[in-house]
Amino acid sequence: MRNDRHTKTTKVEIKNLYKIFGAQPEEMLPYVRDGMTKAELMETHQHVLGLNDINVEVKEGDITVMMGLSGSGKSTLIRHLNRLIDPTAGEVRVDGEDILAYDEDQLRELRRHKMSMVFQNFALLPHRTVLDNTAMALTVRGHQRADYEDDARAWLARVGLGGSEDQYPHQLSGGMQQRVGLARALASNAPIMLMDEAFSALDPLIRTDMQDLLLELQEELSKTVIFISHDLDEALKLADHLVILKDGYVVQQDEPQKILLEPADDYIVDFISDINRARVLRVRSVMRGPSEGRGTVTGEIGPEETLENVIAKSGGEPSASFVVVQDGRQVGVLDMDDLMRALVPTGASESGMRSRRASA
Amino acid sequence: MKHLSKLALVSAMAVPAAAHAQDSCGEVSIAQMNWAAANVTTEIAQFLLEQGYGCDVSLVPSDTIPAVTSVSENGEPDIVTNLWLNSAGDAYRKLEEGGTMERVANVLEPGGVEGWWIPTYLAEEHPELTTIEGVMENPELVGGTFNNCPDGWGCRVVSDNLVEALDLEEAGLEVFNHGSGETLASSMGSAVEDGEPWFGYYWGPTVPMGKYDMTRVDLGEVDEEVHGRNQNPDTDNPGVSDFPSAPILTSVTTDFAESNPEVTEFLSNMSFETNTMSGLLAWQDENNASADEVAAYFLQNHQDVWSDWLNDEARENLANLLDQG
Amino acid sequence: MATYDWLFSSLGLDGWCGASGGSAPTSLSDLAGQSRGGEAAAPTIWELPFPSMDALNDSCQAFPQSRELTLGLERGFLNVKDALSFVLDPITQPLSWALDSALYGILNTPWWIVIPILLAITWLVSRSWGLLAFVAVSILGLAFIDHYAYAMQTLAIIFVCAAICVAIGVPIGIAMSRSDSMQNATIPVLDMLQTLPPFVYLIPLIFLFSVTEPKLYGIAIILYAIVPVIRLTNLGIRMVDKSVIEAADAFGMTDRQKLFGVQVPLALPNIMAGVNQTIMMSLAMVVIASLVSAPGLGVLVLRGIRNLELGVGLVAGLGIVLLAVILDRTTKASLARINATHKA
Repeated sequence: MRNDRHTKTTKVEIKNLYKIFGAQPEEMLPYVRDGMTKAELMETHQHVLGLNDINVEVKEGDITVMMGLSGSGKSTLIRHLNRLIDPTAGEVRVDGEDILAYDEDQLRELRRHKMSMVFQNFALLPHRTVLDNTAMALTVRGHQRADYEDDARAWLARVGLGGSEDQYPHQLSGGMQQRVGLARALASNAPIMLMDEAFSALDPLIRTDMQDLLLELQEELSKTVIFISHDLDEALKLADHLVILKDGYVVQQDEPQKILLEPADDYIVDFISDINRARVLRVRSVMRGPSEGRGTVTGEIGPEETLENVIAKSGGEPSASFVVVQDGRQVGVLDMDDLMRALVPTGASESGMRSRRASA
Repeated sequence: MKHLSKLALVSAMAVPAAAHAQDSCGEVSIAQMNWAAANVTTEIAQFLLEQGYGCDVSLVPSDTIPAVTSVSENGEPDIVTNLWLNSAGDAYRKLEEGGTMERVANVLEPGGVEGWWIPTYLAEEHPELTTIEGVMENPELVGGTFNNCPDGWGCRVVSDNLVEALDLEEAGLEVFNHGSGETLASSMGSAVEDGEPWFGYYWGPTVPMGKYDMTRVDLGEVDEEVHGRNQNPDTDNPGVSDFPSAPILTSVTTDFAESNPEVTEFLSNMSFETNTMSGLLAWQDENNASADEVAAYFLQNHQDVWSDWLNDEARENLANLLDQG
Repeated sequence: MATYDWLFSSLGLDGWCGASGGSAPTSLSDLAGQSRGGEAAAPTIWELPFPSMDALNDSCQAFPQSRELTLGLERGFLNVKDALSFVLDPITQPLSWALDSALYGILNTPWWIVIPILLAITWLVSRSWGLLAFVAVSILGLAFIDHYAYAMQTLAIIFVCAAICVAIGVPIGIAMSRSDSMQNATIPVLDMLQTLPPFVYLIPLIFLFSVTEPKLYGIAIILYAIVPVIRLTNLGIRMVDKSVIEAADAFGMTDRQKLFGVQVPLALPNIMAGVNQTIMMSLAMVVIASLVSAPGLGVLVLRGIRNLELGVGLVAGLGIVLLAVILDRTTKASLARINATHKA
C-alpha cells in the first residue's frame, strides 16, 4: 500500500525542468547545465536560479510532498504544474501529455478540469460569499447557481462548514477560511490537487486538524495531491513520496521512512535531526524478516504502527519483542533493541543506519 | 580698462541724477488695467515719469472696480488711468465727491466707444441689420444669439437692462452670457474670421476692434437719463438708450496731486487721440508685440505728441530721444 | 554693435544675416539706454546676455526671434484647427447635448421634485440618516437664500462631467493596468493634464469649438477631473492581491471573467476613491470654467472677484464648499459601504 510506487500509474511527470529568473534566462542555461550553483549564478550573472534539473514522477492517488526551506524553489515548482509559471527548459507531462505545448484554451481546460489548487493565504474572493467562493470552479465553467448550489453546500458540509454558506470570508477565522479553500478545490472535482503551503499560515492545532481532514478525505477520494511544505513534521505525516529541495535542486526524493533511515547527505541529516523519530518511523521500515525473531514474543503489532505506539505497547520493557502481523499473516519481527537503534539519529549515507541496513 | 573707466563715469553721473530725482518725485504707483490700451498707456507713463521726472514707478496690475476700491480703502495706487467712467459707476463718483480722487485728464479723446456690433460684411449684405429693430426682425441673420458681457462688468448691467427693455429674447435672440472677456473676444474673432454672422457687445479702442471691421448697431437715441437708470442692476424701469461715448479718465488721489504737482501736471497733459491708440493697437497685433514694445514704438515715432506733455526739465532729460524724431 | 556679432562673423554668416542690429521692435529698456545718451557702454562680463534667440537676433537679423517660435506654433495650430475641429466637433457634440439637457432638466423640473430626488440618491448610496439630514439642510438652505438655481446648475454640470469621466476613465485605467507600455504612455499625459494650469488648455479649446457651446467647459472640466479616476483604477487593479489573481488563473478564469469577477470588484474601493476625487476636482474646475461661460455658482464667485462684491463672493464660495462637503461625504459614505464588504 505505501511501498508499491512502481505499480502505480504516473499522473504528473516533471523532466529536466529548469527555471532561471532574470533578463536573459536562456543564455544562462548552459552555465547551469555545466554545474554552476545558485550562488555563483547570482554572483557572476545576476540571474536567480529557481529550479535546477528537476525530475519528479507524481503517482496517481499519492500525496507527493515537496519540501524545502524558503528559497528552495518549491513554490516555483508547483506553479509549473499548472503553468502559472513557465519553465526556462524541461518538460511537464500530465497524463502523458506535454502541457508546455498547450495553447491558451487547452491550458484553461487543464486548469478547469484536471487541477485545482489550495493557497497558503487562502486567496478567497473577499467580495463573494463562502458558497460562491466554494463554487468558483463551477461558475468559471459557466454553471448557474441552481446547478452548483447543492454541490457546493455538500462540499462545505464535508469540510465542516455547514451553515456558513452566506458569510463572507472576512467573517471567518483563518482555519475556516482554508476549509473554504479546500472545499473550493474539492468542488472543482479535478483529479489533481495542488496545495501550496496550504496549512502553513494556520495555528499548530488547527494545522493538525486540517492535516487529519486531508488524510481522511484522501482515504475517501484518492486524489493525486501535490503538497508543498516547509514543515518536516507535516511532510512526514502526509507524504507518500517526499521530495526535498534545496537551492532549486532535488537533494533526495523517496518514501519518507526511507529518507529518515537513509539520508542522502549532511543537509538531509541536519534537516531530520530534530524529528521525533519514534512518532514518524513505522514498524515496516525497521522490522526484520519473519524468520529472524530472536527474543520471546511479547505481542503482536501492525506494520503501519509508529515506533512510538510500539514503545507504548512494550510498557518500557527493554527485552520485549513483537511479531508484525498484517492481514493475519506474519510479515516480520521487531525487537526492542532494533527499535532503539532505529531511534538513534543517523549520519549521512555511508555511516549509521544505512550501513547497518546494508550489512543486515 | 577703457570699458571700465567708461562705466565708472556713467555711474558717477547717474548717482547725483538719481538723488535729485528722488527729491522731486519719489515713489509713484499706477494701476494698470488688464486690457491692451491701458497697458500701453501705463507703460508710456512709466517710462516718461522714470526717465523724465526721475520717479520710481511701480505698476499695479488691476481692474476698474478693484482699483477704485483699493484707492477708497487704502489710498493706493496714486494714479488710476484708463478709468472708464461708465463702468466705474457710483464707486468712483463717491471718491470724487468725497475729495479722495480728482480727475486730471481724459486719457483718450474723444473717449471710448461701446455698443452692440455686427461685422461690417454682414451690414453690407443686409443693411437693415444696422438698427436694432432690423436685428430683432431678422434674428436668424445675426446667428440668433446676442453675445452679452461677462458677469461683473459694468456693461453687463446696462446690456441686461437693454435686453429687458427691448424684449430681445421675445424676438428670438438667445442671450449668451460670456464668462470672460476672452471668450467674448474669441467668439467675435472666430465668427469674423470665418465670415459668419455675429451680434454682441464690444468696446474700443481694443485690439479686436482695431483688427476686425465692425459696424455698430444703432440702438436709437442716446438718453443720458435712461442710460443712467440702465446702469443700476436693480432698476425697475429699464429703458432704451444707446451707449453714450464713454469718457476715459486719468485720476489721481488728491494727496498725490498736492505733493506731486509736476507729475500731476504731466498726467493732465497726457492724452491720446482715440485714432492714435487704435493705430498703436493695430501695430501691436501686426507685430505680435508686447505693450512694452508698443510703448517704445510710440515714443520713437510720436515725439511731437509727447514732448508737449513734459515740463522743461523732463524734456531736457529726454533730449536724446526727442532728437531722434 | 551687439554681443554676439563675433559669432556670426566668425562663422562667415554676415551675408546671410544682413545688416546687424536686430529686427525686434525696440523695448523700453533699450529706449531708456538710448535716452541716457549715445552708444551704451559695451556690456561687461556681468551683463553678458544669454545667447537666446532674441540676443542672437540682435546680432543677426536673419536669425529668428523667439516670438517667431510662438507665432509659428500659433500658425501651425490654426492650420490644423479646421481639420481638428472637423473631427472633434461631431465627436464631442453629445457632451453639449448632455450638458444642455441636464441644465435644462434640472432647472425646469420643479424644486419639489428635484430636491426629493437628490435626497433619495443620497440615501441610496449612503444609507445614513445623519448625512441625509445634512444634505437636506444644505440644499434647502441654499434654496432659501436664492442660490438654488446656481447650485443646481453647478450640480448638473458636475453630474454630467463626473459621469463621463467615469465612463471614459475606468476603461482607460483598466487598459493601463493590463499593459505596462500603455501605462508608460499614459502617465506622462496624466501628469501633464494635472499640472498644466487649467487656462492653458482652455486656449486651444476656445479656438477649436464655438465658445457658446457648453462642451467647451465640459471638455475643460473632464480633462482636468478625469485624472484621478484613471490613476486609481489602474492602481486599484494593479494592487489587487496577487494571490487572488493567481487563484483566478489557477481555476481557469478567462481574462474577461478575471476582470469583471475579480479585478474590478476588488479594485472598487480604489475606483470609488478615484470617483470621489474626480467629483471634487470637477467642482474645483467648475469655478474656473465659469470663465468660459459655465453657469452656476462659479459665475457668482467671478462676479465677486471682478467687482469686489465681498458678500456675493463669500456666499457663492460658501455654497461651493457646501456642495463639496455634500458630494464628498456622500461618495465617501458609499465607499465605506463598499469597503465593509471588501475586507480581505
